[in-house]
Amino acid sequence: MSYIRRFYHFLGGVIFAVILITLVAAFVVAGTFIESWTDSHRYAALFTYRHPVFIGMLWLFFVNIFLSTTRRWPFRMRHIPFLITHLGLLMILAGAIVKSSYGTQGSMGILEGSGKGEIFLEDSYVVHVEDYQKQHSHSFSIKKDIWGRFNPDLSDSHSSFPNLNILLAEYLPNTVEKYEYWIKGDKICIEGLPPFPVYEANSNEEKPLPVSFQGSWQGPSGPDWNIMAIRGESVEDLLKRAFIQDTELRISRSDTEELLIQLPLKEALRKAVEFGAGDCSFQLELSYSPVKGIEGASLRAGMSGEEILIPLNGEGSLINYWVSRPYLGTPPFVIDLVRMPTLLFIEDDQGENYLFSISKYGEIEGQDFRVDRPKTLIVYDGGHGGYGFQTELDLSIAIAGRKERRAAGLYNFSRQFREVAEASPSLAQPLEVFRRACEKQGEDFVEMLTSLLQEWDKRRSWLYPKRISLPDELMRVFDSLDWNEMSSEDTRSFYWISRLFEEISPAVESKRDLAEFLKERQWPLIEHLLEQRKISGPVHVEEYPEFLVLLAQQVVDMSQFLPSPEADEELTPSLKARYFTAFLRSIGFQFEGKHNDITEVLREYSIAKLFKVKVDDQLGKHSGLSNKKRADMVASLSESSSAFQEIRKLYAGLLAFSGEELKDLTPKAIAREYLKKAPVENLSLNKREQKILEASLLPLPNILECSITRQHIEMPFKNKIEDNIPKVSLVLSKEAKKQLLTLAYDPYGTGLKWPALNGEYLFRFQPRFLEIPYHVRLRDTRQLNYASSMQAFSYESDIIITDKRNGKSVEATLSMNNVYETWDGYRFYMANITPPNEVAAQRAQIIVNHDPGKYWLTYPGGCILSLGIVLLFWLRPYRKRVLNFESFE
Amino acid sequence: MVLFRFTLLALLFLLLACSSEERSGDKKFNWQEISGRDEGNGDISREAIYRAKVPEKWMRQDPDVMESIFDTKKANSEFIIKDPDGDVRVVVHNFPSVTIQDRIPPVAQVSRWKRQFSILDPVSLREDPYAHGGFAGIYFEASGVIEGKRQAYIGFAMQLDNEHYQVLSQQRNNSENTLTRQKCADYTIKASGLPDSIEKYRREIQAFARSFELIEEIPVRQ
Repeated sequence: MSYIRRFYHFLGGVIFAVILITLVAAFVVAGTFIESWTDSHRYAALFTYRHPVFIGMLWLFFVNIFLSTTRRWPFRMRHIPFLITHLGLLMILAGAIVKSSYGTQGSMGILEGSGKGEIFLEDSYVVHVEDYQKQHSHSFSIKKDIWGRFNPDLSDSHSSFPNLNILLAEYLPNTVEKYEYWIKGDKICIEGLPPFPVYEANSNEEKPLPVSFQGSWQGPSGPDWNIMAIRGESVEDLLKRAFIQDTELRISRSDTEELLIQLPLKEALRKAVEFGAGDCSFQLELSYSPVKGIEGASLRAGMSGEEILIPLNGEGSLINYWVSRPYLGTPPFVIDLVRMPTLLFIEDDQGENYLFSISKYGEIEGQDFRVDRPKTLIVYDGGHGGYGFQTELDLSIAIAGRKERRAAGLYNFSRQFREVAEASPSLAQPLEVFRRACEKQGEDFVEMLTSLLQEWDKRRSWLYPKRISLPDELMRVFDSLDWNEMSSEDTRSFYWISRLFEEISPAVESKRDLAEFLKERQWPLIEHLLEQRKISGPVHVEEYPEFLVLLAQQVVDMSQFLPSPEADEELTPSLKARYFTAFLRSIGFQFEGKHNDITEVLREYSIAKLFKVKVDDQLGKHSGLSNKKRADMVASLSESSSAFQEIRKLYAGLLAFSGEELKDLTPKAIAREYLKKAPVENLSLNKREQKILEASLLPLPNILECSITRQHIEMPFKNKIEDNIPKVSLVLSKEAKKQLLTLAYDPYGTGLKWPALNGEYLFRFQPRFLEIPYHVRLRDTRQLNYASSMQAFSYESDIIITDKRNGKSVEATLSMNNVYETWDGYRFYMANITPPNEVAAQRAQIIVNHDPGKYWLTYPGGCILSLGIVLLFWLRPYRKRVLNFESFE
Repeated sequence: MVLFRFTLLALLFLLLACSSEERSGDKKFNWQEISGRDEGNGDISREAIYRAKVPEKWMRQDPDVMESIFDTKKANSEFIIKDPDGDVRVVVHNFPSVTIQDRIPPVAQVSRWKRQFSILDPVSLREDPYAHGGFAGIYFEASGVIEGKRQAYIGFAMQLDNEHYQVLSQQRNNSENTLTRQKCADYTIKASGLPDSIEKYRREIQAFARSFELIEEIPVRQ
């Protein structure tokens, strides 16, 4: 009995309390060191606060405090502070024990824009299984025994899948899962084609990169392609090498298209090319970044201060831009690239796949395929047939080179201008006069304007040259053009703008600083003009159009004070064209030839070209006739004539290509369409060329598809447990079927479920999920950085929390120091953001905590403890004892 | 001893007086809904799919309900910030797509904006990654000369996250509907005006763009 009493007093005594305090302190110290060593809160928690020994100590504390209280029995008045203090302590401890046994702590991983109503429990591992009909699903726990060993049989405690056996064959604490797209091991796999070999990039730049496959992947009628599959470190280097090795460079005269020289691009990049007009050096700019792609890929040609830029990607690709004189149209010589069309697959050292398509004219498109998140996903049979990936290549433009694009640009301009002209009741005076002159000659205004632009573009002149004759129909139009049809004020401003621009022309063509030039010529309003610029410094080439618009505006503003035009000047058609082009310059007009929706424009241009060629075939050879005259010929055909029947048939056929509908198929209606659609230039295509053009309008397959497979790479275990992705290998069996399935842990449980046993089941290795009474929508999450630094000082998330029980919603912002707590004790706080910057939609990890004993035990316990401490000091119940002791002394 | 007790009481009072509650700021904005586009098939009705916090003083100009805005050149909605120093115009466009490959990369939108400047002040140019509400893209800022006048832009070219696009596309396959197509659309917000005006309303514009989101929550892959 005395042993029991001594044990009772020990349990409630100060020595036991000191032992417990020491042990707890040791645990806490250990936890602090573990956390700082591993940088992992979870690691520290597992070995301290959540460790069974620590929870056992909490129980012992409870016993110690409780017994130390009972040892005071029978209680006296002076024990009240002591009792209150100990009651508070007991309540806090009980709260901690209730929380560890019945509380909830889990996380939500929410992608911005979406929401969640359940949490996943950290350090829980289950294999989630679904059957084919999706009628049954079950999560099989992976459990450890007290020695830390895994229970290999997962399937012994369930009834949902009675015949399915799941055995844990292997568990690895850390792995990396990568999705494999095109390149799988040493093969490249494309749906519908046999696997091809993947080659390692050789370091010898002189040695050409090998071709894996040569042939058509777009069906029997498709063109031949080279398919290259290379594994190497630098994507940029490999792309450059593949681009250069097969590409030929062609330099031609821009006016006659006469070929001046053809040589490999490699040679042209190595040393300057001499082709009669001087030495020309070339520079290839080809870089790749996952964010910007191959934006800015271009070839530059430089020769005696002149520069030509040929973009190899984007809206204006393959067009030759005369960078040093952008306002003078097409440069004197033009550069084309020719090569075998190529698909280039590259796998870098990180396992990322890249695909580049290089057209036969050297245009490049590029895509990258990240190993962790597929951009497109094909779900075969709800996932039971696996997953696929496809990508669409923009090949409709691959058939068009520089010449076609320039022509399509002009065609697009005429189409758009026609819309504007038809919609506007009146145009600017000079344009109106030009329109009237066209009408007088029975020509179409838009066609003539486009034709003038085409001629002007060829002349490489700031204004149309005085002494260069115009094509016949334009000559007639300008001959009948009378500037006096304009109001006298408009005539004056138009005349003086033309004279002024004429005067400026040499300065513009020699790329002079226009501000300096105008000062030299004592332009009276130069100061005001420079003020209007709002920027200082010389007026360079790129500012010419804007600057000259301002200058022209000054002339218009003072036109009433200017003298009348000189009557003695003989206005030849070319001179009138020159003045007219001066007017176009004064309104900032500059034809660049590029267009936004190049695919659509090129297709429409091809259809229009085919239409014109076929109609012209029916009308017979009438060279030199304008489209208007030909349209008049169509309109005059008898509806029953065989020529018109043929034209109507082919027009109806072409409508099918363009997807348009025209109910009125009379000669007049088709003539109107002809005038609207036919390109300005004279076209002559033989039957073979027509067939090729027709075939180009039929869509060829341009989608590449492959299945998605996975690769698991074993990684060393990281001290920070949060960063580890475990992997399990499961042996699955059902009746005679057996399969080994490897799954990487999906920490948020939102990834793909993988099929097994002939697609009968889907599996995912994930945490256990628990429904909570709240739904959280993540609106925005962000990292706040210190000023001028990328270092974060806080994370914030804007959320909407909806109580599922009554549908009430509240908006809240969570941050590192701002926790949101609901009325019933659910606490939401920020834990993490991935990715930390805003390069993609971000996923916030929000920790949800619910402590059921908080309001009943922990918080009241804390208050009672505080009261007890205050009373202990206030009433000082021990004072009397001390005084008594002193009196005893 | 009196001092000790007084100190204890003062500390207790101070403890109870502390509050972590944030002061609620002046709420001079309201949530407004912005519609998507019609499908250009004759039915010009359009449903509200976006919402944003719009400052009260912004003037809203929506396209006529009888007018089709199938053409993506037309704005879904437009706001004018009236200011004596020069108005600021904020326009919202969305760009629905049929497949994920059809989408216009935000980089291309930004390139288009840059090309609108005949002279672009390189110092003012800012292009930063930007993400919120399930969309990711580029935050753009620039000033320069457009058509002979000093102008500044603040732009947001946004694209729906691929994972969201896949989930919504899956829904679209199951029950083809235009609403889902609109939800999958990219969108742009562009504020233009004189540089000083843009500077003055920069925070409001940024807050508006930050709050811009789909009205309905995007479902998650189960």
